[in-house]
Amino acid sequence: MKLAILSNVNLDFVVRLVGQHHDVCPAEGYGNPLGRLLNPGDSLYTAGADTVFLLPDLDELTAGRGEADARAEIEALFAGLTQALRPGIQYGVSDVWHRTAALAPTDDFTREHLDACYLQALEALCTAHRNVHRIPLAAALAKGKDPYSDQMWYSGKIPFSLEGNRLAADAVEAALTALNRTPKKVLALDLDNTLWGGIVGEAGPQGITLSEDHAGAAYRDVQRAALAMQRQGVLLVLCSKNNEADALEAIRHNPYMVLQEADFAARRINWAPKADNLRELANELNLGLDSFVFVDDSPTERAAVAAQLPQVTVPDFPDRVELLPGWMAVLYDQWFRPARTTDEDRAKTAQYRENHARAELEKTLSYDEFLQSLDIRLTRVDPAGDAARDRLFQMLQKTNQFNLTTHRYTRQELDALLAKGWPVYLYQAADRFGRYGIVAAAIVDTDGPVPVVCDFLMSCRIMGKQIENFILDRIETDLAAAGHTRLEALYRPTAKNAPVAHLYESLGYTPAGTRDDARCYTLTLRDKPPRPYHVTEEDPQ
Amino acid sequence: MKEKALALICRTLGVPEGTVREDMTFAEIPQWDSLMQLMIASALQEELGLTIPMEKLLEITDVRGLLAAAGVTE
Repeated sequence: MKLAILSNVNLDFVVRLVGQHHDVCPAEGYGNPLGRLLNPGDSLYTAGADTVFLLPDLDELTAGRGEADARAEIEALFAGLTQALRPGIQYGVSDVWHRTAALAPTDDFTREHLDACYLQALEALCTAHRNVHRIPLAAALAKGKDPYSDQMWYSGKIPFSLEGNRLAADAVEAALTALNRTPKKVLALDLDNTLWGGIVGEAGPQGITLSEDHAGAAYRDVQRAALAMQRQGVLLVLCSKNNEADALEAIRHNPYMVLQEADFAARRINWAPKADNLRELANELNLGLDSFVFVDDSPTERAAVAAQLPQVTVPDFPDRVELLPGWMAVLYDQWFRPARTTDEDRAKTAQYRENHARAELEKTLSYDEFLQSLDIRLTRVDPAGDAARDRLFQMLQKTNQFNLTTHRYTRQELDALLAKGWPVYLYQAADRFGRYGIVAAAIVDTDGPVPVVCDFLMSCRIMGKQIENFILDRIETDLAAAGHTRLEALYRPTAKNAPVAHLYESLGYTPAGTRDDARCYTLTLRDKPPRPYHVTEEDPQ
Repeated sequence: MKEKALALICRTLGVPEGTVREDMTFAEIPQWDSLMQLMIASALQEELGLTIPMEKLLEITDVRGLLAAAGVTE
């Protein structure tokens, strides 16, 4: 199992936490989940991720948009996601959480409309595709005292506080467990103080606590929860120490019974040890004991069954009656909710491999369409200005992932190379989602006979959009126009820049040994391959 | 408070208590990166009610600076 976690906001810490216990693809930029999913060359595919979780921040997705535009964004997200789905990969998509009170006045129910729009799209996707599941992230975050953080948001586009990150990681791990476990099939229920209050053998069939009020209503709700599970396909069986006649009398004739005799697939109501009864029930149903969940209020009974039948799941029973219905309701998600249908998946995976070439081409087209739809615009910025130079310096110090050589120049060193007249490519980027400011930089060392791209860095916000192809193309064209026949480029591996380890190779450069502790690559400009990108360059104002 | 803050920093980093000392720079602590710096600020806020002004937060490079920015004197 290999998991990729994607979002339009920074969930790097969630990735880190989940990565402590599971095989998770390392975080690689953020903010472009659809781009990554639609790009057949994305590292999540080359790494062989078989599980992809998408946790979009709806506030961010719809920020600054009126209701109609916001709906369009939601629909575009799900349309893109539908296109990107592959059989053989399990997907999880989170439901709606809100990190912020509305930032601007909206019409009364706009937020609710957008929540509904998102949830309906999510439901439609899960219904149409059996390999897409909902991740109940909102409920997980709601358990926290203060799961969101404005400071984390404005510091690093991290929507959650430390507490929130931990809760989100827990929810991801719970979803992962649910996906990968085999669901249980049988709910084995005790009667006294489980499906009703009191002991029927002593109180009589009308004297048990089961009614429309107080504790009686709680037990009624426990029965409702069990019935709901039965309707989802869970088998209910009774396993109770009682005179069968007393128990049946209550089941048949207590007017507050929700569960009816026929709702139980089998029963053992007697004075024999419960472990023996469970064995018999398993035989009768022709199911393994490992598909049983045993629910009983008595710690002694639970301990006995757990000891004698380790394959049976024996959850802890709440010690307060008012907690019972909620606990029962959660049992379904915890143990019974079905996840993947492995055989179907396998068949589909085989089919996919047969259609591989065509599927790849289709995905390339839709990825191209996606990039086109982003309307990416770059504007070159002169590094001579103070603000530009400050920003360049900052980028050089802070950029880690898309940074080919991670030179941490001092201000003097930076000023010196600017003074030398080395070509510095500094770009501002914008797309239809907004403006990003100066987010890409490349520096070419023209001291020697062959020019060397000694620095190439980009903000992770714009990774995965082929912008690097455009910039390198521009550098190569300029150098060719200046009369150069060849250029070189350097890559210095660090713990964080693995995402760009093969950048130059993928763009047609040839490895050419090492220089200082960097890998060197070379390109004959005449042999430069065409580069795909969907970027418009705009003239500076 | 200083003791509590240092202990919390250790717990958040996942290192034994006492590993992080007031005289250390972040560069000396292998588990430290900018992401952890933010999460530690969040932890200090959540558990000890200490706030570090946002503009300062990512500029700090050592433990002493962090404690000072959080207003921890003793």
